[in-house]
Amino acid sequence: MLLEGIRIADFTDQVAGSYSTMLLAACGAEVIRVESKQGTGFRRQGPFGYRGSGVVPKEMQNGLGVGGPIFGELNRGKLSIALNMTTSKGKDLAKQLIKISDVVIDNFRFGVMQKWGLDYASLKQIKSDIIMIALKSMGETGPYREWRTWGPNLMSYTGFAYEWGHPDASEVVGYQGTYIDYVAPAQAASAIIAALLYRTRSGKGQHIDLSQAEVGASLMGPVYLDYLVNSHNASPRGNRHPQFAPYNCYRCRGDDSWCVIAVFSEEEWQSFCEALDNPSWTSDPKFNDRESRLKNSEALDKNIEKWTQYYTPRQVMRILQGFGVAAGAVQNSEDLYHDLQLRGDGFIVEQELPGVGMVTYPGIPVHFSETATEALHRAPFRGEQNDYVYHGLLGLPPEEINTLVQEGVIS
Amino acid sequence: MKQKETDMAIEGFKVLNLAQDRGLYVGKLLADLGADVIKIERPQGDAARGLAPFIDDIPSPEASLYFLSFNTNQKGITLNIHTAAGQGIFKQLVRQADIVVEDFQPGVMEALGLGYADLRDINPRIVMTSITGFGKNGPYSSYKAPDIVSFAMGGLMFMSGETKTPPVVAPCEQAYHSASVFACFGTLAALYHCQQTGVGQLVEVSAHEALAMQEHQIVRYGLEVDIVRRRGSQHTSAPARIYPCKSGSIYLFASGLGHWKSLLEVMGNPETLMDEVWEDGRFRRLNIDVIDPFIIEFTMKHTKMELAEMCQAKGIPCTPVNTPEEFVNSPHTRERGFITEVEHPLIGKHRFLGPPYKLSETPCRIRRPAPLLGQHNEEIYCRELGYLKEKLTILTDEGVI
Repeated sequence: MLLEGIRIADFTDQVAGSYSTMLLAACGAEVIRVESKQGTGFRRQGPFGYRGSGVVPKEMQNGLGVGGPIFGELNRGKLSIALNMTTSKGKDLAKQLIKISDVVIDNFRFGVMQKWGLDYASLKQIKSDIIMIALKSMGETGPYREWRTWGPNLMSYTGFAYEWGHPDASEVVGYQGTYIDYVAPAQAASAIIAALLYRTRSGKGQHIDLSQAEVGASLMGPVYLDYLVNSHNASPRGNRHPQFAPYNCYRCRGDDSWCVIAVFSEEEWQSFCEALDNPSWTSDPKFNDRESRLKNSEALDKNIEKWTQYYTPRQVMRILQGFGVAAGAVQNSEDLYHDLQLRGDGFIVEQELPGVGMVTYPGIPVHFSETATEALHRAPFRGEQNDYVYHGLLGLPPEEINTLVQEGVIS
Repeated sequence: MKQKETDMAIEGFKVLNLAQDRGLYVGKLLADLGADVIKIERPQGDAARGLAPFIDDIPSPEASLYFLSFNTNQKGITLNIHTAAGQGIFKQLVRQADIVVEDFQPGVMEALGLGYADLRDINPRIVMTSITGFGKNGPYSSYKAPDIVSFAMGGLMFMSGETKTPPVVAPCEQAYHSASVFACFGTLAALYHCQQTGVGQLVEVSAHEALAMQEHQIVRYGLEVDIVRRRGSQHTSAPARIYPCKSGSIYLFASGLGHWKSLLEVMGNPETLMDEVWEDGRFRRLNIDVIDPFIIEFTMKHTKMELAEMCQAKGIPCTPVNTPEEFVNSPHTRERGFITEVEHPLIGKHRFLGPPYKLSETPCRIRRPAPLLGQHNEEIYCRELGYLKEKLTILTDEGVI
């Protein structure tokens, strides 16, 4: 296993934090979710059934289910302990766990870990080579560090919303998703493994301050450099490319059906014309070379759409790719669910989630030739591995565990 | 006297970087963490050198800000690996390397005799990272996959944009960067494993999978059997979207019950919305058309920073919609020191984005700007591989370097 013997004390909730520790679990690290009753919000997150109509299932309301499918998706391969962090014994147990861990992930609001006495300076006293990462939306320093944000807030804060749209839109459109939530976890995992590599060499641990906002801005490097060097705020570019044409999204046969086509070289343009069976407009001097096509891209795209509208998105893709021209279907969530490439690869898996039923999950998008990623077991019930951790790892005798349960510490 | 510089997390590890588009960001991330990355360009230069934006908007191979933004901290050499001599030189470099990063179409490296099996024979510790559009097997594996094709096929484009306009691709090639950040993670995990065991391996990432796993689309469709349509910035819960205000706009995410109640307070408790029925999240979502005019009436009275501060004071997630300029100049970005500096031979000293994570013992830092074309040929070929300068001239004339 890639991260054999690495133990992670996981203080995360929601998407980015949970996904980052799942990546590490997939590499064989032992990830232990530390879950206080107050911290189980995301387990209740839907959807639970057809058209989102599902109410929270009874098992969930009674605390008997694992949780919703999105919690289930993001917490596969992990262990869970229940621990009441409002008690001083709870905090002590957390410290005992950290003492035998390699990495601590803090994805809570700014100040929560500090309040529990689990700040980096204190943890370093307990374990001198601990690696601690604060995975926060705005980072651990700066005047807005206490700002509350959800994924979409960060899309707007980092310039993504401003840059993401058609150039002729009258106001900012933005995105309904939380893109940074899916990129930040890989960046966090990279920073953690880099710190592990440094620890191997130097014996030293360290603290990592990761700002998801800065992860987001970094994903738009050229746009930011355009501002920093040229003082130019790029306006939204839309689908067209400033240097190549055709390069756009085109309407296809069927309701809300679209494809994309991208032609770069002269050779590809010739193949493209051939694929369309050389309709007369393709020999118009207006489309003779790249510069002319760029200048007349409006007319060019209208002509292309006359062709694409007779075909489904997948037909366009197969015809053009057959001629060596880049084209793709604009797949919706249904297409994605049935995607041949993803299904054939075994990337999509099905797994029973107690309280919900059969759930379909995407895999981890990284494949290793020598050390297959772990087949991720289903997400744990809260406290499912209490015995393993408290007795097996921390060596507490069963009587003491019972007492702690009765005192509401392990609860 | 120069102060002793701090260590870097992965310094000493050698990377051969053949990436040209979807893997560009990997080289930068590894270099920023301290690795010695050699960027290998074809003799006529990387295609990225031809991509906008340019310094002062004047196109030139040394003035592409696109190229500059992804190649800081790397040394640059030219090498034509499509020639036999070039392949021989590349194999020599592999002997001393820890990592190879490449993003050619599937089968290209194998056809050149530089596939993983070939490189492993030369150096069993090598970690080779391949970034493809659709993977190396399967029905779409041979398809061309520029960013817009991957973004469309990955399922994110369909849900991007307004209901009534065509789907719109994300800014700045996010299909490429999604693949790259996962490739960086996989590369480091494999490197860690190699340090422990001495065994290298092949790490494969496809942009298709790196996008398909996002936004819970597969999980949601499996359960809800419903297609996610475009709806601007509107979240599945409400109120949660971009709202216009007196200056610009904000993203207000007040759909949690506590946040909803706090929002009512900030808005001055509008009577229509005070009824208890509005405390039900599903009811709010279905009747967002009733709620939105009240919110807009309120937001239009204030600037975006006023709204952010008023809402954040009550714990409501509300942020301004920033331009790159506003993000760079915000007091938060400044105080965190996110903007750093680099000196480039053409531009001189200029500002540059810092790394997105701060490692206390091994902070990332910019050691050099992106290389000029072939800038380190002599250093690598003559000083490291021991070639005579005459040989370098011959190889250059032969189009190998």
